[in-house]
Amino acid sequence: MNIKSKTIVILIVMLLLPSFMVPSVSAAPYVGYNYSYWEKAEPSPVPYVPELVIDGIGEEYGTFSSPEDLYVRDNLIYILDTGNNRIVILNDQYELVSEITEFNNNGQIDNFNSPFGIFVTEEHHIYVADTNNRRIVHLDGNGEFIREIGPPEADVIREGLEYRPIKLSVDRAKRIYVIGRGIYDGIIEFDSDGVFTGYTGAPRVSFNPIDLFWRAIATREQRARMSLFIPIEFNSIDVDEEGFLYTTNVENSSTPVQRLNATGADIIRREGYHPIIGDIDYPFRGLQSGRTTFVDITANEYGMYSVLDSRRGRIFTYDEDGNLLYIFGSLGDQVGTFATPVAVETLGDKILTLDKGNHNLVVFKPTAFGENVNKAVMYYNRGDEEQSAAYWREVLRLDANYEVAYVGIGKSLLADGKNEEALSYFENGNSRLYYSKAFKRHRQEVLRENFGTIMTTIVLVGVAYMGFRTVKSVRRRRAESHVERAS
Amino acid sequence: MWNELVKYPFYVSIHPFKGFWDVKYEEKGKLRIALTILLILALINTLRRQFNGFIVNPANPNELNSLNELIFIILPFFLFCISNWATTTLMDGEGKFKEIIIVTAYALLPIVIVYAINIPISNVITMEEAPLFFLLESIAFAWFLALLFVGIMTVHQYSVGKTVATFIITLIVMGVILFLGILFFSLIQQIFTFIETLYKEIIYRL
Repeated sequence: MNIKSKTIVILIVMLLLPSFMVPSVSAAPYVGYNYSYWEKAEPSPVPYVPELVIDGIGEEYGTFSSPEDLYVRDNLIYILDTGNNRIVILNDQYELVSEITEFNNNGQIDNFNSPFGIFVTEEHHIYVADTNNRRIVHLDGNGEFIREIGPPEADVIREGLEYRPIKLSVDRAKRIYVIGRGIYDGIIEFDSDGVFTGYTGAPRVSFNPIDLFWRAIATREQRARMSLFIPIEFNSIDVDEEGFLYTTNVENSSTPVQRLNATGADIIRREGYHPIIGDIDYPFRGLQSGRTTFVDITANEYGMYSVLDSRRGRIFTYDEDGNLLYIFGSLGDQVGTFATPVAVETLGDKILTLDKGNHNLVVFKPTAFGENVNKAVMYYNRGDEEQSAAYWREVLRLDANYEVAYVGIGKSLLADGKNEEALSYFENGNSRLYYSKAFKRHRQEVLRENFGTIMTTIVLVGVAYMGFRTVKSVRRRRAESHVERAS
Repeated sequence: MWNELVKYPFYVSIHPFKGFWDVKYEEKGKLRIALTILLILALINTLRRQFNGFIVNPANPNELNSLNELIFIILPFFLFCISNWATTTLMDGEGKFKEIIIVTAYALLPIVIVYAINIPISNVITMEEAPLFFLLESIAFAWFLALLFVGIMTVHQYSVGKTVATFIITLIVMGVILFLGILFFSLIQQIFTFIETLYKEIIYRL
């Protein structure tokens, strides 16, 4: 072989080599970004990449038809296949466990009719919002019928209310929270026996001063034609480990994501850099314009929650303080993008998204970046700031613009008493509150260490000044006495 | 000389009525000093944005630009002076344009001093002590407004009510000048674009 052919062979090998080294999943079909403290969308590593798309083609359970809801409990995936009026249960290997198409309702075979919501309790009991049958169906783990809960009956229910349950959640005390289509009085709450107990989280009426002004100057006829100020309407619900309800709403409110306690008060923490509204910067005109429209929310056990945006097909993940951790997903026609995303759930560290338009389930797995963020938040939630900081350092290695990581490391340094070092981290993380805390300690330290020097300086300056004054006055007196003598 | 030039603005800050009277009738004010104060204010403001403590400094380090100080300090200063002069000339004001500049610049001195003092202070305070910092700045600003009021009143020999009215009209005139200025620039811009397109069109056809 001469040199020429050798070079050619080497070149061919070099060209072929990358094709063998390509990982199983290529680049994500969307760009990674996150919002900086200065409210600018900055490029960021992609936190999650699509791993798998489950559409039922060639599987024993067949294809889905406009599935509307999804729930994950103990590594079992419950898919509510609305168009086929059935529940498909898969395990964490995405293999069929069972399928519920009908159930025995007191001796009669009963079916669902366009069910929109599903929830599974810790005992694997399944609750289904059977929308067009206007009822909640309660099944046990084997799909055996236990009971059904019909429309709420009480004086507070408005006349002519069309009860269409769409989403539901059940807390540890087996209270059932139901969201009805077109119901803006709040979340319908049933007790464990299925008796209606009232509305919870009834949102306050929201209006802006400009609307109020126009109403004030409008005539009676004009006012009647104006749209009513109605409270916000919820569109999804999830219950977290501590039994608090996470809800989303699509109205133009400033709080599209809420965490409700037992009295229905919103207790979500908004300590992040930005309000929890999804995209901060968005186009006002053209395709996919307007603010983020949340359609589903899922909370994990570390206080993190992911919210699904149907307008631009993105998933926003926040930590318990309301810091925006990462954003991924997109509308489109590629594998891993959505047509009409409707539901989101977490399975371990994976994120599952149900797409009604494409009739499929998209599984996302974390990248190294996403995994490090998740671990850092997890350890911080457990109170292990040192471990958390170690993962935040990894995150910073991948994305030096990640401000939350700087604050995380700063907090750990502060706990270790490394106040001065913490200062620069808090400054990079733009956390003035923690900077101030660290600075207060650092200042005290410096003062204590240099107490001797400072006091000596003050005393010396004082003595020097007094000496100067004395010398001056003595001189003046001497000069005056000279004058006196001369005269 | 030292007393006349450097100490006098400080004297005016503390004794505005007598001080501004002497500016007008004893020719104690100097235009050089007035412009120096303005320049120092622009400089101090630049330093303030760069070196104020992190806790009280909301400036985005990526967008710091010293030229902004020219726009946000020097331009409003002259805008005010011109508008005030234009207004008071029609309203029997006795002040000359030079006197208006001197009075306005001398009135700015408390702001210069407090901003300068606040730079080191802001670097040794925590968030709990930040109100002190903002209080100092507010006092400086209020002091500036009071000095400006007295100064304008003195140089034009106005009553209090007439001074208030002039201030309001001055503000309106400032708005009008800004509007005309922006209109002028956008029209000039369009003319240039027109000439540019014309030139390009001719070049392509040749």
